[in-house]
Amino acid sequence: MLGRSKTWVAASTAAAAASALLVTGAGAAMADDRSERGRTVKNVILLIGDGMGTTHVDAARQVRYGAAGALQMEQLPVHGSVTTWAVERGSDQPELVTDSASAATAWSSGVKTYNAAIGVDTHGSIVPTLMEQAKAAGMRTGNVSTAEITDATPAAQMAHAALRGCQGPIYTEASCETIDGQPYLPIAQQIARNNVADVILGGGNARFTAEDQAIMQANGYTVLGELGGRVATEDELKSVTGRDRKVIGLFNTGNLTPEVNKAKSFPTPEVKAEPTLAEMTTSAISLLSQSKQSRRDGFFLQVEGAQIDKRSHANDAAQTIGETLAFDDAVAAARAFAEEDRNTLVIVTADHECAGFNIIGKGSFTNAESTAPPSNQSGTSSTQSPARPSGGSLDPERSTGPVNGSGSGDPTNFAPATFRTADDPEGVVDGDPEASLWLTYLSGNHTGQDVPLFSFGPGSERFSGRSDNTDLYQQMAAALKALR
Amino acid sequence: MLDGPFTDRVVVHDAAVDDGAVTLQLDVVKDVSELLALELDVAWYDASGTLVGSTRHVVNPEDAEAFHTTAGIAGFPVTVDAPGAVTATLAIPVLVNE
Repeated sequence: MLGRSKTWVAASTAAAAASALLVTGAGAAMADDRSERGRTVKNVILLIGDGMGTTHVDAARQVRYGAAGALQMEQLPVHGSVTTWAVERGSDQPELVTDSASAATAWSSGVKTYNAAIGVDTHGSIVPTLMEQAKAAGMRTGNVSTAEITDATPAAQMAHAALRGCQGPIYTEASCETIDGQPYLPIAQQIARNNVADVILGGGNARFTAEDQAIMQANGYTVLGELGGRVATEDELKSVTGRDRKVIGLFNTGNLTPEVNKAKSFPTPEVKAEPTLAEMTTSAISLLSQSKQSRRDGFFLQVEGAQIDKRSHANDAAQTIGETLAFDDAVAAARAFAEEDRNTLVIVTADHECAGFNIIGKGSFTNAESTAPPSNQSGTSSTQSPARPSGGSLDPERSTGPVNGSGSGDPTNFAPATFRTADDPEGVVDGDPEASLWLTYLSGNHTGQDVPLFSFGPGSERFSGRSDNTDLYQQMAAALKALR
Repeated sequence: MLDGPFTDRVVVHDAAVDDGAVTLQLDVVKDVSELLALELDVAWYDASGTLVGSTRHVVNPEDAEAFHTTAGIAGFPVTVDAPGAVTATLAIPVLVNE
């Protein structure tokens, strides 16, 4: 059994590569014209709704604001979409459905890679990340997530691993493999040693150890709680004051508690002490911006609403909507800062859609609830096979009432979940057949849909229209004044 | 079962040492999305309490798919050959969910 490896392959190679790319790659951006698209900005805040497809946004809007309303992210002036495909390992053959690791590597490092890869290309070579480059250029940096901070989306900005499961605290060859033929530090240990992110807020305290804490404190970090021991609390986060602070706060041993669960099932003191994503975002922005270094060179902050995806995997619509709304609150916090600062670019997007979330007509039913798929025969014009002269009907064994209402006791129920919207009359509640919003899932897995993008601030026009997820890296690097 | 970083994420059922094997059923009850990595360390002892052997059991995440529910992984069976075992200890050094 391999224990904790002391090999520094990932950290040292990445730092060198980051510096090299800063000189060569980012320099190409200086050839951009001086139009609005070429305008640079001091700060960038990138917010990722993990698993957030268009329907996730639509459903959350319906619940909170109604049909004619708009979420905070939808009110950002620039709208676009992002293609999310990955590639098969060792090749450039497209893999149409990505995971969070390869998607995050795409926007963090500008390369297509295989699912599970963290900061390495399709051949397993380390590639520098935007956060590493920003740090090397003198910017302040922050990484916030409602997941374990070693999870794919935050990790891809500040670590490198052949497999996303190499999170720590233990290195094993099965969960980590090797990079360039050598074992390397698990993600938690990389984070604790590489000083890439100045402000680190999220979950995953169990992946770190007392040794990691000692190293981080020696590197100037304020450690909230105890790494590998007592989790941090929101009160501790609020108590951090002063300038140029480096802080790590991990508020759960694993992922943070979904907001719906905080209110409903687990009102323990520990859960109540967890900050919301909006609170972590506000704190991170404050800590990063209160800095002479930041005023000079700016900051780069990535924020992830991770539980949208995790609750979609579980096909729990109430928690999915709750997490999407919590993510939108974080977007509001970012926009509020950007509007006042006027030198901050805010980008909101997703890594992929999760679970084929969809809105169906009130009173209708899905294929999963049906005895057979729809009819495909129309007079003499159809050549489809197999021929289905008639469609199916609602199967009472597969659909036993709204899954969050009368059918909630049936674990094999494929019926939709129903939610009241802001337009519904008083008295209509979630789970009622009379509720307007009927939501279904296709599966428990990711899908290959393009995802939405919203943006605000100087240079946001770069992100209008359709982009690939690797384009996001190029555009952010071009937008950042410190990298020009 | 030995305490570790992931003890609060799993529940072990029906653990037994029988006929030279350690068997158990495992629930993963926290962070209940897809299972990405799971490894178990099993050490077994004879009647005198002497360590006889140990092994690292690496679970293929695809094998857990059939036991995946909205409440997490439920009742995932694990069997580890442990010749001469009378008692055993279990530790979980690696657990990663999507």
